[in-house]
Amino acid sequence: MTDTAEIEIRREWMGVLARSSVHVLEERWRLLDRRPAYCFIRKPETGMVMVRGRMGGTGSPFNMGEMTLTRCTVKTDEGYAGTAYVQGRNHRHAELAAVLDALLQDRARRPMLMEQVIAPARTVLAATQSMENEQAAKTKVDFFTMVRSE
Amino acid sequence: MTRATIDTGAIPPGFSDPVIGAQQVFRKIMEAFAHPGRIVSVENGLHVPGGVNKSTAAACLALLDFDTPLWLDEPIAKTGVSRWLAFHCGVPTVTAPETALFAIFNAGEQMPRLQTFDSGTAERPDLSTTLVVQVADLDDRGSFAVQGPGINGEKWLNPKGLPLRFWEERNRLCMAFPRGIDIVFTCGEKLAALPRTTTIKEV
Repeated sequence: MTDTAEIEIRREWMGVLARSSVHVLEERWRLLDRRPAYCFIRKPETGMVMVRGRMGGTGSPFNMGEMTLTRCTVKTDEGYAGTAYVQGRNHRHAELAAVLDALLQDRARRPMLMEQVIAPARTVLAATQSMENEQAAKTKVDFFTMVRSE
Repeated sequence: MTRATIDTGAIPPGFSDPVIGAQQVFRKIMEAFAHPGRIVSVENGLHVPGGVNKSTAAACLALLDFDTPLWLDEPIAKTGVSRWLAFHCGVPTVTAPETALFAIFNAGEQMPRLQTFDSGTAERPDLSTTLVVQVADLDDRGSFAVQGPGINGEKWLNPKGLPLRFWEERNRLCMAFPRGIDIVFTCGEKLAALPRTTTIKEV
């Protein structure tokens, strides 16, 4: 888990797991046929993190506000450790995301999980996103200035 | 850009319940400091990383956080303890002993001189380094008589494996009261405290 490409892939699936709703993950988890046992290295715990931003993405950083975050680290019986940081206070969400993160690091298991967990979760995320976009688009107001002709 | 990666799979878990675990151990440490010379037992189901004993590990989990720079002697620093503590408590490890608020080392001839640690200032004596010394054996029968606040009369304490200079240095530092250094002795699951107010002499 050290080369850059591997880190990028993992970042990708950790993002999907963190953004997905706990119901989606729970459903996908139940459908898996081999669910290994795991123990907690760090049980789910909730805290606050400061979200920082840059004006226009390029300005100097500023503190935007705090958000609630739950983190968890687990270790499977096969020796893979998984970590999750998810928004909100749902401990089960952090736990599931951490377990799935651990399982996804097993290269033998990864293609199956990508297909059965990450791909459907991504589809749900995309659907939610496009629905929100549509709703937002309906209320969009285009401002323009009338040019006076003299 | 280089990224620091931690192999989380190699890190043992902390307390099974962090809040309860830390509070129970904290209570034990308070008892030890309130009654110098009393040996308390810090029993817990911790899977301790190699290099430290159970009571050291438990005390660290209960006392350390991101505000308490920690110094480790070389044999302990070589083990995975600092990574374990960084993961569970967020504690920073420092290489200069005088900047540390806590220090862990093994008793023996190779142990650092106590003057290298911070014994606080007259205004802020609480900012001194607290030493966690892992001793070869610890019992309350032996050869050192302890007296002072928290002790009715006289008690005995016998941490084994400490060089003679350790006591000289400790007593010299504590003569500058309120400045001074507080010490926790650990051995297995046993723990005893030697606050700066306690006088100790070999009999």
